[in-house]
Amino acid sequence: MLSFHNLSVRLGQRQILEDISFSLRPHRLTALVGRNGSGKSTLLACVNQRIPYTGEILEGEKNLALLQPRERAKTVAILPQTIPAPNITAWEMACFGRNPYLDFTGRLTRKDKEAVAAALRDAGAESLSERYVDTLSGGEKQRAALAMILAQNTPIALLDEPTAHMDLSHEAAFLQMLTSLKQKKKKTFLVVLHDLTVAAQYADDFVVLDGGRLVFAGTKQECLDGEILEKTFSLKRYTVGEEGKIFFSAE
Amino acid sequence: MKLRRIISICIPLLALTMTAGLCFGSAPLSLSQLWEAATGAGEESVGLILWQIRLPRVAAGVLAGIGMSTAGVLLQSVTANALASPNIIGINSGAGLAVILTLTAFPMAGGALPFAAFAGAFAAALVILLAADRIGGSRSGILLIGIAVTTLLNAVISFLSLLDEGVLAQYNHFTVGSLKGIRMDDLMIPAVIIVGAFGGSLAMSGRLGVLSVGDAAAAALGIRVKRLRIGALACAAACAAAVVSFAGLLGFVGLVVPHIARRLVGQQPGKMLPVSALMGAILVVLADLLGRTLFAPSELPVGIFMSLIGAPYFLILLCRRRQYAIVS
Repeated sequence: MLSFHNLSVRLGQRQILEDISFSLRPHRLTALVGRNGSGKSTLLACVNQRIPYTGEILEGEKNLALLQPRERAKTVAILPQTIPAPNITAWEMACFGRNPYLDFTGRLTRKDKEAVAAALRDAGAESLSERYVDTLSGGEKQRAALAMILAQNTPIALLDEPTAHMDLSHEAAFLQMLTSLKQKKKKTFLVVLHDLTVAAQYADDFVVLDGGRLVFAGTKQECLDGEILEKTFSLKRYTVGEEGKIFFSAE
Repeated sequence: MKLRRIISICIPLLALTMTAGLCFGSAPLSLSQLWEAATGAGEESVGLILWQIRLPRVAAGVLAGIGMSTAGVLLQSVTANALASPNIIGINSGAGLAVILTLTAFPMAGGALPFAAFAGAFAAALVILLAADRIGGSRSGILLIGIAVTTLLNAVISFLSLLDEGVLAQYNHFTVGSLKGIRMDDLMIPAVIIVGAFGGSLAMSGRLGVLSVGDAAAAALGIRVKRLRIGALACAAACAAAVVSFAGLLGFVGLVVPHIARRLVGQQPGKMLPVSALMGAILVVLADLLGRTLFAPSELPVGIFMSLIGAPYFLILLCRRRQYAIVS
């Protein structure tokens, strides 16, 4: 499973991440939370090998930095925070997810096409197949993008604020979809989330960053019991109703 | 529209345009005369017109169209900017500077101009490639480097052209772009380069398409972004330099043809490349044909004619669709 060992990132004089160590639990949805500028996106950029870092990121025994890009792309899928909306269909975009598996001709085999169709189905984007991505709404575009990374067929997927431009109902539907995929497809998700209330509702585990340092990594219950989120974000927690639904609000 | 349908329309259209290009001119040839000359059975003068004048010119038009539109598709794909074309990112200016330097230093060396143009275009592309490699090959970086190189080269060109009016006149002829007086021998090396670069572009077109979802997402999909971008830039430079060496600065094809192709088949380079190549070839051969027949016995160079018909069409195209300046 994906694990981070003493990960540090320094850009110029600024220490962006410092000595981060934690592991993801398999088949769980882990919420990566932290204030703006706490290093969440930088952490994902390290997995993507887009910036230099010290320490190690391992998938099992394999060091991601030593893997060929195509091999890495078969292990971990990453959905960055912003994706342009190209003038291609959602089907074509989902096909990009098969890139690590294609030979030099770039032709999709029948197996690839089946994987793309399944990914579109799993992401609830089947009806969008023939539509152009630049004509889709924010929520639809994210579903097409999710189909792309699902087509990668990796055991682990990292998503950077995938619900940032969605309204509440689309956000709930999207995260519900991840929850169901985690169970059905045995996927492990690390999702950067801004809304702590939403994170508390859907995440199994929490990783909390503050100022580039790891504040907490563990289960949701441990996180809530230790009042980690309240302390880190200076928020107040409210529990509402018989179900004990949790809300966070500024004090 | 489906790719196969477009290609099945474009191929006969290109054949028709090429045939018209071979038939029409100061001495019109009928189809039967053309056939006789092609099989070596006709009059000697008709054979001369076909083999020495018309065929090289039509072949040059086809090659120029393929080369410039391929360069345009590649540059627009790697920079994700619909304004990128060989004349904007410095390749044409490199050729221009080499030509004007040759004209200034060796006024009688007219025959060396194509070689000088090729060397200049390639040198400019090399500077852009090295600088892009140094800054990490980002798409906006390549464009900005290209603009800086163009500005610098144009300043030197202006300075040199002010020194000698004779050089200026010859240079102007080169910048207009023309297919007049081209021989088959002049086309051999450029043809090999253009065909090779086009093949290379097709081979990398699938991966180039992935760049449309952004560098970070492309890297996560297993693409070596920097290496791919620099490879595509090298192919674009080779295509543009090869065309400039025999046809002068035909920049407009590289800008407008990829736009039309994108409207027809979408943004995937794998689809845009064959469609652009065919449409570019049709456009240049047709513009050359009209340029030399409409105002006969005077001849309007293909570059001027293409700009005269292409620019208004391009404006109409832009006005019809908003959000056109930037692809993503």
